[in-house]
Amino acid sequence: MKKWSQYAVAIGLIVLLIYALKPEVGSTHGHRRDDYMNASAHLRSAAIHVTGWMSSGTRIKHLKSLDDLPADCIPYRDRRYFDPESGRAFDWLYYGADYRSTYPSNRFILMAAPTLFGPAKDDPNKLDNAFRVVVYLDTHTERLTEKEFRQRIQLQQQDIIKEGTYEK
Amino acid sequence: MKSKHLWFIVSLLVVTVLLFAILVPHVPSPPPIAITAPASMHASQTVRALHAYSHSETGPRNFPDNLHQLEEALDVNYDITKYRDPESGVYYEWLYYGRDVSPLEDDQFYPNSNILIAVPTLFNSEGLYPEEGEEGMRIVVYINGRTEVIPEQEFIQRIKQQMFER
Repeated sequence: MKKWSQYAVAIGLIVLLIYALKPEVGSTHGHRRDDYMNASAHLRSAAIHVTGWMSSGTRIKHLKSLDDLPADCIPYRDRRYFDPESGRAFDWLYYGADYRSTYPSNRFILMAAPTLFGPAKDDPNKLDNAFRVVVYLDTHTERLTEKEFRQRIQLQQQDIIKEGTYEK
Repeated sequence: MKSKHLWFIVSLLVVTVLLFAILVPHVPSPPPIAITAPASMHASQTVRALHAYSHSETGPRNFPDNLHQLEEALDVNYDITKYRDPESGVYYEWLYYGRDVSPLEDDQFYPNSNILIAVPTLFNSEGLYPEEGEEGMRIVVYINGRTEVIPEQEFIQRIKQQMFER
């Protein structure tokens, strides 16, 4: 009987060890890494098409809304964010209408994902633990906490450049 | 004689159907109300919260620049400030057009036909997301809280006009 209990304890310890050492494949901060990576890739691709259209021709064009883009300018899969579960597509958040040429392109948030990622994505009281995928005018993407995203958007809309925190 | 009459009636019917198909412009049919009603009700709830925000204790004020300001001011949760996809349960941002808009100047500058909130996804006649090339319908809520389901092209035109008027 004693032997059996020793075996059980040993097996339990092994299971615990395996669980503890299990690599966190496919998850970042409690949500599926695939979803975040997908959103980031599609957002970047969309931004490349948008900025490509803006800079095509003889002068830089000001794009007030994504709806002003020609229909074939962005591939169908990048035109909106596709929810991996429901298959529905949701409009990107677009901030290009506020752009002034004095704003550095590596600091100006051009577009953002329409949803949040992270363990607290459903809790408005934990904005430090919810993440927003954004793409800047120079088409590099970043993951910001929702709190920081909101602050930056407010400053951006007032044409205020926040210094020092996000040099690339 | 009888078969002649029959042929005449049949050909008349065919011609009528063809004429109808050619002359009546193609208008995408809206999804059934059972599908759009929850989203419409949800969106008009947000509009009511926006009106509550604009009539604050300190006096009247413009609608907020962003919906998260509404969240902070009224201490409401995401069920008010975001659209919840019923299939995946994920929250998405509404399309919001209230920045720099004063609800108190409705009669003079911002007619009730101005869109304040739109659902961030599209529906086809079966309530699904439209396939590539298929035109979808958009659920919108006007400043006065009235909701409507309109074709996406019309929605784009109206938003452009709204931006131009400002």
